[in-house]
Amino acid sequence: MNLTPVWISLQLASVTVAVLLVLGTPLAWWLAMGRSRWRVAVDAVVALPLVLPPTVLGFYMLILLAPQGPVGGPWLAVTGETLTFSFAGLVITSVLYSLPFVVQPLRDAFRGIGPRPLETAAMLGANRLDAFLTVACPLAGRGFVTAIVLGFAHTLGEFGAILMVGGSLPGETRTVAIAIYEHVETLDYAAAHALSAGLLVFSFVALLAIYTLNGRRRPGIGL
Amino acid sequence: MTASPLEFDLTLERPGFRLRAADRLESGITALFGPSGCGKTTLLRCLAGLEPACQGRIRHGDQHWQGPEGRLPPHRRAVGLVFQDTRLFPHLSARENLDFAERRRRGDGPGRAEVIDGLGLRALLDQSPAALSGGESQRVALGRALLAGPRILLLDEPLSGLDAARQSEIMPLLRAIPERFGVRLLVVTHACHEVLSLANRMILMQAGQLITQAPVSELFSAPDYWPFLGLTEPAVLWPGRVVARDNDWGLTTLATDAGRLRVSGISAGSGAPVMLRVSARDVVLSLEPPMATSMLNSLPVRVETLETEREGVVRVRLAVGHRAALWTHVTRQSVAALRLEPGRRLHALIRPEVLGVNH
Repeated sequence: MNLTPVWISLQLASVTVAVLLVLGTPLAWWLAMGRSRWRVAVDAVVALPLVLPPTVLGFYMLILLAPQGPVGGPWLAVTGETLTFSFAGLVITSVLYSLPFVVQPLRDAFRGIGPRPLETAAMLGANRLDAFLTVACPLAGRGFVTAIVLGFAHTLGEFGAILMVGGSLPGETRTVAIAIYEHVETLDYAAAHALSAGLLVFSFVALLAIYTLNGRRRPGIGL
Repeated sequence: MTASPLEFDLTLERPGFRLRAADRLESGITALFGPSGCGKTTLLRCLAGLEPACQGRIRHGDQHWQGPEGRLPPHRRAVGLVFQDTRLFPHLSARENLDFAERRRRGDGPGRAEVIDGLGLRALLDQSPAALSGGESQRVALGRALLAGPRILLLDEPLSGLDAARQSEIMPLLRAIPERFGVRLLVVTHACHEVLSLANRMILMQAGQLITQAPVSELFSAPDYWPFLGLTEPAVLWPGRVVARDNDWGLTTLATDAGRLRVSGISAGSGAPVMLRVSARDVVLSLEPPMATSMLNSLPVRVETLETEREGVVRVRLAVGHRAALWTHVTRQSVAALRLEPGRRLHALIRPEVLGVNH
C-alpha cells in the first residue's frame, strides 16, 4: 500500500499546528485579555470555520490563492510557484480551517488564568513578556496540549477545503482523507479500510489523551 | 539601610465610588484601617500601579512613580504587594516561588538565607503551594515579596483567614521587617487588635476618603475617632519600655509617660518597647492613696473634664502627670460623693492591658 498520503498528512498537520501556535497564541492572548471593542467580532471570525461548510472556505481560498488572486498572485511573483495545487497552499488553507481548534482552547486557558497571576508576577519584578512566558504559558499548559492535539487531529481529517485548493496530486497534495476518497472511487476497499481505520484509531487515541489529561473535564470547544 | 519616603496624592473614580487619598508613608509600620469596602485594597493597588484608572502623583524619594510625566510600570517600582489570598504560583514549588522573586530583584534587599531563616521557611521549600496551610502560604508569600527587593511592602490583610495561633506566629515576623530588612510597611486591616499590636502609625479610611493619619497611640486615645475605630469603651494607649524585671513575682516594671507601672506576662528584656492599653472600666478612683488593694498600679491624677455619658453615668477625663491622660466612668452619685470637678486631685487605680511587645 502507498503510504505517501500518510506522510503528507502528518507533515501538513505538523506544519499547520506549528504555524498556528506561533500566530494563534498571541491572538488567543489578545482575545482573552484585550479590552478592544473589536474583540467580539474577531472571536466570531475565529469561530467561522466551525460552522462554515469546508467547501465554502475552500472556494474562497481557491479565489484568494489562485495565480490571479490577491494572495496567489504576489506569491507567484516572488516565489515563481503557484499556491493552488501546492503543499504551501494546503498549509495556508489548513491554518484557517483549524484556527478555532487551536485558538479557542488557548483563549479559554488564558481566560481561566485571569489577570491575578500576572499582577503577582509584576509585583515581583517581571515585565509583561516575562510574566507571559514564565507564568501565563506554564499555567495554560493543558490548554496548549488540547490545542496541539485538536489542531493536529482536525488537520489530519480535513477533506473538502483541501480538495478544493489542492486537488489530489500524488506526492504533493493527496492527503490521507483524499486518498481514502480516491480508493473508494476506484473500488479499492481494502486500502480505504486500512487508511480509515488508521485515522479512526489515531483520532480516538488523541481525544482519549485530552480527556484523560483534563480529568474528565470537557475541552474548551464544543466536542 | 535607609528607605525613602513614599508620598502620594491620588484619586480614582468608579461608578458609585470615589477614592481620594494623599499622605506620606513614614518609616516603620503604618496600618491602613477602615471598614470593608472603604477602598483600602484599591489604594494599595493604586500605589502598586495595578489600577490604570488611578490619577494623581506618587513619588518615592526622588523617583516619580506616577505623575504628569507619565507612570512607571508596576514591575519597575520598588514596591511589593502581598495579596490577601497570597497568590503563590501553583506551577512552582515554594522554593521556585522564592527563586522567581530573587531572580528579578530590583535592588539590594534581604539575603536569601536571612529571609528563609527569619520566616522559618526552610522546611517548606520543597512543598507545592497546594500542600501549604494558610499560615505557611502567608509566610512563603511574605518571603517571596521580600526577596524581590522592595523598599515599600504593601500587605493586604496578612492576618485574616489565620487562626489566633498562626496570627501570633506571623505577627512578630511582620513587626521585625522594618528594622531587619529596611523596608516600610503599609498593612491593610480592619481589626483594631492588629493595628494595636503591629503598627506605630495608622491611616484611618472611610468611604474612599482618608479621615486622618497619626501615631496609633494618639488616634486610639482621641474620642473623636472612637466611632471610626468601632470602640465603645474609652481607652488610652501608653507606649512604654521595660526597665526592670522581678523574676520572683513574674512582674515587669515599665517606664511610660504616666510613670512607672508594673505588669505581668512580659518576658521581654530591658529596653524593649511595650504598648499598654488602659480602658475606662479598668480605672478606679480613690480619694486617699490606696494602701491595701489587689491592684498593682496607682497613679496621682487630676480631673480635667466631666461629661454625662448616659443616664446616671459620667465620663471623666483625667490628667496623669503632664503628658498622659486617662478615661473612666463613674456614677453621678460618685461624682457627688467624691466631689469630682475639674482640677480636683485624687488617685487612680489602674489595670493596664499589655497589647504588644516588640522583641
